[in-house]
Amino acid sequence: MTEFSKKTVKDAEILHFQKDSAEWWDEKGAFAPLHKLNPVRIKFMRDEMISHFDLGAPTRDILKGLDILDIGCGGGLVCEPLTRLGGQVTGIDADSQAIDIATTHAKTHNLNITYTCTTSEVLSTQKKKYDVVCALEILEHVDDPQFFIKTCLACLKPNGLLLLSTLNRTPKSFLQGIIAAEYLLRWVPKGTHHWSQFLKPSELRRFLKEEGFDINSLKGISYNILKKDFHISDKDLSTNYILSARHI
Amino acid sequence: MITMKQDIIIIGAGPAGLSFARAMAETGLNIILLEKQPESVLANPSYDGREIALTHLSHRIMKDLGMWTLIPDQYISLIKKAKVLNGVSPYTLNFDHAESGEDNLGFMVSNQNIRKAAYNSLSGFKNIQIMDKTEVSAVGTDQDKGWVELSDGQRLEAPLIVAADSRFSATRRMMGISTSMLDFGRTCVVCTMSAELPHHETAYECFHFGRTLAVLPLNNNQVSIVITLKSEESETLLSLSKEAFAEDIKTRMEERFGEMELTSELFPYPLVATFANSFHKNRFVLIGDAAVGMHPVTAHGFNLGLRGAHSLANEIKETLNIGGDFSSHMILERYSRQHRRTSAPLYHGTNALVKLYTKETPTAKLARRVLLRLGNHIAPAKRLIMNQLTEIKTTGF
Ligand SMILES: Cc1cc2nc3c(=O)[nH]c(=O)nc-3n(C[C@H](O)[C@H](O)[C@H](O)COP(=O)(O)OP(=O)(O)OC[C@H]3O[C@@H](n4cnc5c(N)ncnc54)[C@H](O)[C@@H]3O)c2cc1C
Repeated sequence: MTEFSKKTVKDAEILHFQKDSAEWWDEKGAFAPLHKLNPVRIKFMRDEMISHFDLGAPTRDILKGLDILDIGCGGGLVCEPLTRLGGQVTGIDADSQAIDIATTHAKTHNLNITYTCTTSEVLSTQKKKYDVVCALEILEHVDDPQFFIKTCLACLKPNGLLLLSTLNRTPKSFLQGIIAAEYLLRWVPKGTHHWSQFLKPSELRRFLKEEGFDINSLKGISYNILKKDFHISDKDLSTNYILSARHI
Repeated sequence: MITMKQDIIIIGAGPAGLSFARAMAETGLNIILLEKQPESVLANPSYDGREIALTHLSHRIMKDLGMWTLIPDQYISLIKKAKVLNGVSPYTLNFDHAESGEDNLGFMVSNQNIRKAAYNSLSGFKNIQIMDKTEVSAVGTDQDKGWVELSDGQRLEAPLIVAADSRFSATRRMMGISTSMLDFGRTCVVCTMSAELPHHETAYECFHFGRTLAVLPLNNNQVSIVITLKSEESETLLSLSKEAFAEDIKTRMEERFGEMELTSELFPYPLVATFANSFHKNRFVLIGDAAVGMHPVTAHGFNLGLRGAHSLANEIKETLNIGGDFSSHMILERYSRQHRRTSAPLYHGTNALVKLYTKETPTAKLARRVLLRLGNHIAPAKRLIMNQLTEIKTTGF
């Protein structure tokens, strides 16, 4: 048994998301907060890619020439904008229903994206490597995050860029992410998160360092209840955070 | 049936539709404008009596869009002062550009020249196409796209349909968007006149004998006359001889301008204000008068339309920069929310003002007198009015 044949994705987690798969693209449905969050994280990702690969001033096809892998792509909320920006995008997800939805949606919108129902541990053993690997809001759903990160890094080209976002394990994230988001505001389906599985940035950094990587840029994503909008924050890492990492 | 694919379909090439197209031109998106009238009319619109008072914000946006430089200087008049007169009372509410910190309160440009400049600003953009003499017979949208059917049976599809087809928008109705309408039962009659005595670049708004009269300064000692009166009285006014009409205005203005002479036809416009109950639906959005059709007395109509078109274009451009779906619900909702927030107070405020100034009840008369005096004496109130009228301090653009 190779090191990478361990399962990264819990079956229960896949089932949980499957229930709502059909709603991926409903901006007012189960995934509404992800739609709101999306512009903020895409902008961060775009800017990190621009600075890491020295792409110059942003244009509408600024990501041209980059091979991008999105792990846990769901309905394709991240794959589609990155494709419009010129990226050559592959999206994978363990949930076959989400992959079906992503494929149909991309076709309707005339976007050329490769979607496959597979896991990072399978891909990590393949020859094909990527300039950029993204795993957004996935870490909090995997069984063994350290192993998961290893599989992500194994998919990268030598000078590749890793983009991660997840929830911090703080009292605030417990309140906001679980109590508020799942129960009070009914933003995301109940049972989406397990607080004990959340990772602190320091723990993530340790995992990365063990693989010879380090954090490049680390930002918080805060929610403004009055403006009903997400924004990037330099200081507030207490709930959601997003980072880029590269080889040292 | 061939289905043509565009990025954006704009219905109506009036000032709002054209300005929005121009604001989107540099994105390179493929845009098609559908317009009933022949293109020759868009290129050379005839004079329609409307002299549009433009705010500083509109001036800025039109400069950014390359429209302002297309208007020859002699067709731009300045308003430096404004006076509000109430009935026969000698008391006036005065606004002066000196108090605003700018060298004028606003600009006057005819609707004809605005339309012409907006049309010409599109020349050279290969991604923008005008399909003239075209009427939309059906429009529909779903989660992912919109489509229109033309009277000749052609069908066009696009991820976004923008309706700029006037305050009586037929496509708004076809999309099932309900609209509040307020028919004032009044008519607005506009024309231009020459004045013997200088107007000192002062605009007058007079509330007289159940009708309102605005006299707006134009270059070469011309003035734009805007009369609102009960619709049943407009027939009489329209049938006056040129001389009798001039005499009437001269008297109403207490010979302030000496002899006056009519220099254009009289153009009547029935007064109906409209406010769409929603500015968007799936892949469909309203701009210009189709979203908010103002009563002209406060001169917000096109200013508001331009501001909305500009903010919708900005939302779309920001989305394109991060690869987003530019016509998604979230984007249209954001424009909608912002534009409603800007326009609702102006819309309701204007309608309330109109009621106040057309009622001849003793309370209304008293309220008018009090308002005029208060306006002059309470600096913040006046500043507020001035900022609303001129949009000098409006930022964020
Ligand atoms: C007397 C008067 C004075 C005014 N003064 C001022 C002022 O001082 N300041 C100010 O800011 N505003 C003023 N306004 C308001 C201003 O004129 C309007 O707000 C502005 O013209 C609205 O532009 P629009 O493009 O939204 O609509 P419109 O000018 O009504 O243009 C709509 C276009 O759509 C086309 N169309 C309609 N239906 C269809 C269809 N089914 N298919 C294809 N094409 C179609 C029409 O042919 C037209 O070209 C005034 C208005 C009036 C009447």
